[in-house]
Amino acid sequence: MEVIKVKDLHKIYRRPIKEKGLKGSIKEFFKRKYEEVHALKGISFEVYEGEILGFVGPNGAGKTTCMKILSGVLYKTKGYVNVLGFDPFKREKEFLKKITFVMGLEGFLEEIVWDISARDGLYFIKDLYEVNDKVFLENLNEMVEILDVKDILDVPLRRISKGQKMRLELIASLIYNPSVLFLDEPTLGLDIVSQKNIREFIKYYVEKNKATCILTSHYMKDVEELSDRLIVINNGEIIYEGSVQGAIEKFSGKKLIKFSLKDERDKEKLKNFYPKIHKDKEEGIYRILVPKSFASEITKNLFQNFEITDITIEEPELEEVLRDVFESSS
Amino acid sequence: MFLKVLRKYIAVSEIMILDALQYKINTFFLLSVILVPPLAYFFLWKSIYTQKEIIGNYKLGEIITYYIITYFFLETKPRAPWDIAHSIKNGGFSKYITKPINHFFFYFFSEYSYLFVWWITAVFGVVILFFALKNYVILPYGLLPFFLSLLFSFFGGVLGFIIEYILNLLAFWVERPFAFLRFFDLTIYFLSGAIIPLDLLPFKNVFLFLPFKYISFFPARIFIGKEVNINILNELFILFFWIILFYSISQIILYLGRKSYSAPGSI
Amino acid sequence: MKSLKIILKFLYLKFKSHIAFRTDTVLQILFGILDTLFAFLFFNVIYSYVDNVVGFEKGEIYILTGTAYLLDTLHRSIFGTGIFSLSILVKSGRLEKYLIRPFKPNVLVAFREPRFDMFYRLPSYFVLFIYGFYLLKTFPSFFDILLFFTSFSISSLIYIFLSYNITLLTFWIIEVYNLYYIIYDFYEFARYPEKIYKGIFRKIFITIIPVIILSNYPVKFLLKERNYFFLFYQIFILFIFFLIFKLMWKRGLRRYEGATI
Repeated sequence: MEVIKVKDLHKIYRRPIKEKGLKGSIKEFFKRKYEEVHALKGISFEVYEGEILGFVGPNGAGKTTCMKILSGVLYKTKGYVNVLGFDPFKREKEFLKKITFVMGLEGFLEEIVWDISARDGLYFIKDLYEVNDKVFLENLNEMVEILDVKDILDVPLRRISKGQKMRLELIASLIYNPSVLFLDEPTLGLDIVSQKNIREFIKYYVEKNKATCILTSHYMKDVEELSDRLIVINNGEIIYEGSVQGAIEKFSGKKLIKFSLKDERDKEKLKNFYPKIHKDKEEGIYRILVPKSFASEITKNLFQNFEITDITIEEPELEEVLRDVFESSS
Repeated sequence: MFLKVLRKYIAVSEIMILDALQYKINTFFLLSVILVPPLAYFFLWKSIYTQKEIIGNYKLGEIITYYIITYFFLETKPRAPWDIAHSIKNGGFSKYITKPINHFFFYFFSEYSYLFVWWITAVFGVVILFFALKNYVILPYGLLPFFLSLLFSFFGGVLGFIIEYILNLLAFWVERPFAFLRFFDLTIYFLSGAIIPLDLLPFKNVFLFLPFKYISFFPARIFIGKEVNINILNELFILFFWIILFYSISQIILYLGRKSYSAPGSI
Repeated sequence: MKSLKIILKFLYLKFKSHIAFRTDTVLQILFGILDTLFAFLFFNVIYSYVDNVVGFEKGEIYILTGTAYLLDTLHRSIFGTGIFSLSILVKSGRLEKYLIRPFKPNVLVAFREPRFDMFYRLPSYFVLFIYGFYLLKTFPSFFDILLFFTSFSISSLIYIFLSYNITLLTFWIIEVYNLYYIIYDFYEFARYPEKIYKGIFRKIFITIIPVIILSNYPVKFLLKERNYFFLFYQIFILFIFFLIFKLMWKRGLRRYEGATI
C-alpha cells in the first residue's frame, strides 16, 4: 500500500544576497537582492507500507528539504504531495499524530526538559499526543529495555551523554506509535555502539509496527543495513532509484583495489600515477576505484612501479561508490 | 523606564541577547532606546510644567534636553560585555591567561570598535528628537560647553566601563553573575541620573559625591548650560582620580581572581 | 479543555525545571523593590512641586504605575520570553520541533519559556498599588474591582497579540531580530496617564500600538470613571489584533524556510 506519494515536487528558496561591508549592510537594509535556489527540481517517488527508503546524496542535495515538506514543516513551491492520505502542509492533528521527524541532534526532549528528567518529558509527550496510559507504559518499558536506558531515565537531561540522549530522543519520537518516520541523520555524531543500537531499534520498530520510513544518513552503514530501497538525490534531482545492490552495480561497474605501500615515500609518485586515490587514515591502506575491465591492467601497473604489499580486489561498498559519483559530478 | 536595562536583557538566552544587542547592523532598530524614553518624559514633563514655570531650577526646555542627552550618553557608553563573566564561568577565560594580551584592554578596545557604528546611529536619533521637539529643546550656548560635555561623557564612559568590568570579574566568586550584573546595571542607571536629575533627589549630596554622576548626569548638565561656574579642571581631576582608583581596583581583583580561578570545563 | 490541560502540564514541566535549578529569588525581589523605590522617588519629587499631573493625584499615579508594572511583569513572566523566542526559533530553524506536534505551535511557543522567578517582583509592585489607595483614603467597590480585573485580563491578551504580531515579522525579516525590543520600549508610554499624550502620538498609542490603553483603561474603573465604552473598545482592539495575528501566522508559515536545505 502506498503511504507516501510525491509527484513533480519543486521547492524554490529565496535567499538574500549578502553584500560586504558597512555600505553593503546599509544598502541591504533598504533594498535587498535575492537569489533563487532551486532545492528540488521536480522529483517523484512513492514509499510503501512497511518499507524503509534510504535517501542519500551530498549536503544540500535536497534530502532534508524534501522530508520537511513531507512532514508539513515547509511549504512546497509546486507539485503533489500526499502522506497517509493527508496534505502535509495543512498540518491536521490526525496527521501529525501519525508521523515523527527525528532531526539529528535537534531533539524535542532537550527542548522541553533540560534541568529535569527524560521521564518527565516523555509523560508530557504522552499527553500531547493523547496516548492512553496502558499503551504508553507498554511502549516505554519495551523501548527502555531494548535501548538500554533504564538508569538514565530519571537523570536530568543536561547530564546525559550525546549517544544516550539520542536514544532517549528516539523513544520520545516513537513512544506514540507513529506510522510514518522521517529520520534525518539519526546517528550523526554518535559512537559506534550507539549507532548500532539505534539501527537495530529502528529496524525492530518498523517491522513490528509495519511503519513506513524515510532515512537519511551520512553513514552508509545505516543506509545499507536498513534500507529496502534507495533513492540517490543530487542537486535536487533523483539520479537513482532502486535496490542498494543495484546502486552499487549501476554506479560502479567498478572494482575496488586495496593495497599498502612498502615505502611511504612513494606516496607522491603514486598520486601522480593515479590522482583519485584515497587513503584510510587508520590502516594506511590505499583504495582505488577502477572500471572492471581495467582492474587487472592497473594491478599489473602498480606492481611494476611500486613496492606493493597486501593487495586485494573487491566489490566496492556503497559509500565508496557514491563518493566517486558525487566527486565526478561536482 | 525603570526597567530600562532589564528590558533589554530579559529575553531568551543571556548570551544571545548580547549578540543581538551589542552593536550589530541591526542596531538601527535599537534606536527606540534613544527615542522612546525621552519622548515619554517629554509628554510627562510638559504636562507638569503647565502648572509651574520652574521645577527645582530647571526650565521645561532644560529638563527635556537633559533627558535626551542623558539617554544618549547612557546608551552609547561603552559596556564591558557579559562575555567576560561568561568566559570566567565556562572556562573560556583560560585562553587569556595563556596569551600575551591584557585582558582589560582587549575588551576595552574591542568595545570601542563596536561602539562606533552605534554611536553614529544614536547621534542620528538625537537629531531626530531635537528636530521633532525643536520648540522645546535648547542647545549649548557655545562650542566650549558642547565639547566639554562630550569630553566628560567620554571619560565618564571609561569610568563606567571599568566599574562594569569589575562587576564582571566578580564572576570568579559569584555563582550566578548575570543576575548580579543586571542588578547593578539598574542601579547604575539610577545613580547616573537617567530617572531623575540627581540634584532634585533627597540626600542629593550623596549622589553628587558618587562617581556615577560622570557617566551622564554631569555631562548632560554641562550641555544644557547648568555647570557654568564649575572649576572644570577640578572636576576633571576628580574624574581622573576615580578612573585611576577603579582601574587599580580592577587589576587587583583580576589578580585575586586568577589566583582562585579553577578553569571549569577543563581538567 | 483538553488544550488547557496540555498547557497546564507544559507549564508544570517548566515549573519543575524552575525548581530544579536554583534561581535568583532574592535578586528578583530586589529588582521589584528597586523598581518600586525608583518610581516612588520619581513621583515624590514631582509631587513636591505640583499637586496633580493632568488631574492625577499622587495616590492615583501610584495606582497607575503599580498596575502598569503588574501587567508588564505578569506578561513577561509567563509569555514574554517565549513569544520573543519565536524569532530565534525561526532564525535557527528550530521551529520545526513545534510544527510537527499535534498542538497549536504558536501556543506552545508562547509558553515555552516562562520566567517564574519574575513572580517574586510582584509583591513590591502590589505594595505600590495598595499604597496609592492608602494615600487616596478610598477604596473601590467590589463591582469596580471586578470590572478592573476584566479590563486587566483583556489588556493582557492585547499585550500578548501585540508582542506576537511584532515578533511574527521575523518570518519576513529574519535578520532583524532586535525588532521585538521595540514593544518593551513602547511600553514606557503605558506608565503615565493617557491624558498627557497629545496629537498624532496619542492617536497612535490608542490604535496602532495601543500601549496606553493597556494600563490606563483598567485603572479607570478603580478611579471612579466607570464607563463601559472603554471595555468595548478594548474588546474591539483585541479582536483586530487577534485577526492580524491569525493572518500573519498563516502567511508567515508559508514563508518559513527552516535553516537547512
